[in-house]
Amino acid sequence: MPPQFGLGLRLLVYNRLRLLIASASVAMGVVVIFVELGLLFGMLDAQALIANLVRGDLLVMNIARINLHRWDKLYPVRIDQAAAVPGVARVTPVYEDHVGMQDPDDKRVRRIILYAFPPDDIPFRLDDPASITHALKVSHGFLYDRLSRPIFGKFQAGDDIKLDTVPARVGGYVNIGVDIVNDGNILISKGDWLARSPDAKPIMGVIHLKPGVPVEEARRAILAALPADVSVLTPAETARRESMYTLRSAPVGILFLVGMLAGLVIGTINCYQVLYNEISDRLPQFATLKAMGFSNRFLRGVILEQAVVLSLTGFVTGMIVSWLADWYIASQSMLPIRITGPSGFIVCSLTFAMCMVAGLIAIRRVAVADPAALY
Amino acid sequence: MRGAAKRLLEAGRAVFSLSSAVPGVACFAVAGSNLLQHRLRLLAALSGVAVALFLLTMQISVLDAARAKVTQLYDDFNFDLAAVPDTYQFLLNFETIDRVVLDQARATGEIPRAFGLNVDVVHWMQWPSKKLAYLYLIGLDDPGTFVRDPVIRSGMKSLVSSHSLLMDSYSEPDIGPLATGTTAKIGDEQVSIAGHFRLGLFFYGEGSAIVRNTDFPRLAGRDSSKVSIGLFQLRPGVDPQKAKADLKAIVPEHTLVFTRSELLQQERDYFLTVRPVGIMIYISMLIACLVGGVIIVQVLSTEVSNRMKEYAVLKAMGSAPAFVYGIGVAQAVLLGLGGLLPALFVGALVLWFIQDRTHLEAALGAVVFGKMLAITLAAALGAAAVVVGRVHRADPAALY
Repeated sequence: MPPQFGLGLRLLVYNRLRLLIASASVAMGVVVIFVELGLLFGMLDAQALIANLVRGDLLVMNIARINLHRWDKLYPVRIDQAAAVPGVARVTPVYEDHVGMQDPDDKRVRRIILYAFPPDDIPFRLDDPASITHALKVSHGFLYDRLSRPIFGKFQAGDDIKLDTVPARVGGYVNIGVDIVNDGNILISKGDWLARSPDAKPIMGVIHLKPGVPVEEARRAILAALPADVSVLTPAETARRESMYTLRSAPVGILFLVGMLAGLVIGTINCYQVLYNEISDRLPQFATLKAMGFSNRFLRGVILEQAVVLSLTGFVTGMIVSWLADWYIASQSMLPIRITGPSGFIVCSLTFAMCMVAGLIAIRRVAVADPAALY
Repeated sequence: MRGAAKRLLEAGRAVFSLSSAVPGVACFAVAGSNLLQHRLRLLAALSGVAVALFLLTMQISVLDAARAKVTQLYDDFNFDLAAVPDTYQFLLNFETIDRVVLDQARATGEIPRAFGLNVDVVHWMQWPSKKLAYLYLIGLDDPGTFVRDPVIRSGMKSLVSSHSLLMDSYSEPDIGPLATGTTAKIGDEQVSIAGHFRLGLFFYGEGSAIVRNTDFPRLAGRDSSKVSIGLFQLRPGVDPQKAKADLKAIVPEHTLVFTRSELLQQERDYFLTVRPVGIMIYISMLIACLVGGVIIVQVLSTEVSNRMKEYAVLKAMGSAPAFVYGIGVAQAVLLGLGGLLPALFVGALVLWFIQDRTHLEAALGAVVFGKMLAITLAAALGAAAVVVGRVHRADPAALY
């Protein structure tokens, strides 16, 4: 007799409360996987944040700068040398440093990351570039990243704040974000920064190519024209390199991966428990079906159908709880921890796989349903 | 030989049957038999509990290790008070205070000894390969009674040349060879490794090195009249809070004074509650706790549901309620402890791997073992309390 779809679902729906508990049970594994994966992806995304924000075709950096948290700077002449290569439209110098920013209330000075660049050529993809350009053109002004950790005090646009003991005016706000090393960011114009630090060197140059120039060709030409003390990467390559570096160097990466695997095992075991109980409680009904001539194959189909239903209900329940958990963790850690398309797809696939594995293990139980035991 | 084994087995059985007469042991005996009847189910239940406890072991160990690591350098020093610049957030501090603060402190009469600690990040250039890495350079005054670590104390004696340093054995491979006598460059200065110590501050640089404060300003390009942190020892019996207030009153503006416990607490707070890694580990731990608790309750609840008939039979036969409930409690404890053992075993392996790779001292120790045992027993007893009500409802009449 061919498997009849719907019976497994009807058996589950028969007791709504029990279905809810079963879904919650599977969802527990889903939540663990989602949260651990969210923490891992959030950490990697945060470390690669600046690379992902860059608006340009290529980045030229000091070759010793093997990750974005190193301070190896470029000789300023490399910016001009790269700009002179045929096919390159322009190169925007980006300066990075840390400055002490004084909390206007408690007067404590905390370190914040500063980026400086020409106001007319913003190297990052930020909202409302026209107003950023306008604000940065005001002398001694800076823009504060409103996604910085809330440790720098309360102030508003127009306030004068001391940066390394020199007052500067808050010209407005931008949205950038922090990572696991840096607590906040400010933006300042290149002119203002060089006036404060005449010997400052750029941390990188953002290369814009002329329309139609292939990136690989341009990269080869730049590397051939410049001394061997620079590396030239696309923003995407830089982001990937940063993520891989973080994964290798930070022990918490291992912790989150292990946590994710643990979530997978927890989900599988929970789902198995649910299905086992479901089969145990319905053993007389399964025996009756057998007595009526339904095959073991049919009964296995019913169990696998229940596994599929539980994977769906568990995934949806788990996703809702994880969304709330991610929202809370993101608000506390200020990291971009959220459910994304790829993470949703990965967890959905893993949920389906764990429920099917649990179903295949639990299926053995249905074989013991004995019609004779009914009497 | 075979006869001896047989006699031993019989003796064991006799002891077991005798001890089963003791109510508590009997509960465990019945609970054990219950669990062992369905081996696959027992395996699934133990796996669930083990995975949750394993997750918790990992989080607790790493959090404890991180908490210890962020104050590790300070732990190597004997001090009661510390003076830092007002820009101070954590140990990697580029700002400085005037060395005169050390003399001012001695003049208070409450502070007999003061010590200058310098820290900075410098470029370490391997020689002759010219490969560059970041080195966390630590400058120390004469160790006196301040330096606790005997390895650093004896190592400092070997710093006879102004171009020698002690290298952290836990430095990353990017630093290059670490053998005594290896030469490299810090800035334009050629230096050589004269000895070693163990620190592993991987989050500040690829390696760490210790030099004398007479050499630190030259190597780090610092003003010799400044230090990063001033450490002070108080006369016996002096109240640290009073000494702190007295010192605070005389030090220059932009200088903060902390007691030892305040400084260590600030360091931990910054890394574990401001920095996201600590927050992430705390939240992971919370989730692991929740999951572990729910799994034990669920496994036990399933087990009790499947045995309702047997519990009813026991009641019908006149078993005391304490005995029937005891079986549930014993089953929970056995499941918890049965899950804890593999969790600790696998956890120890993974933590050893983490420690080996990162020098974060996360290896399983007695403290984590004690915490895990307490958590497991608490979760098992909690789970038993939740499900024991179902045992109470087991009705002999429902058997027929």
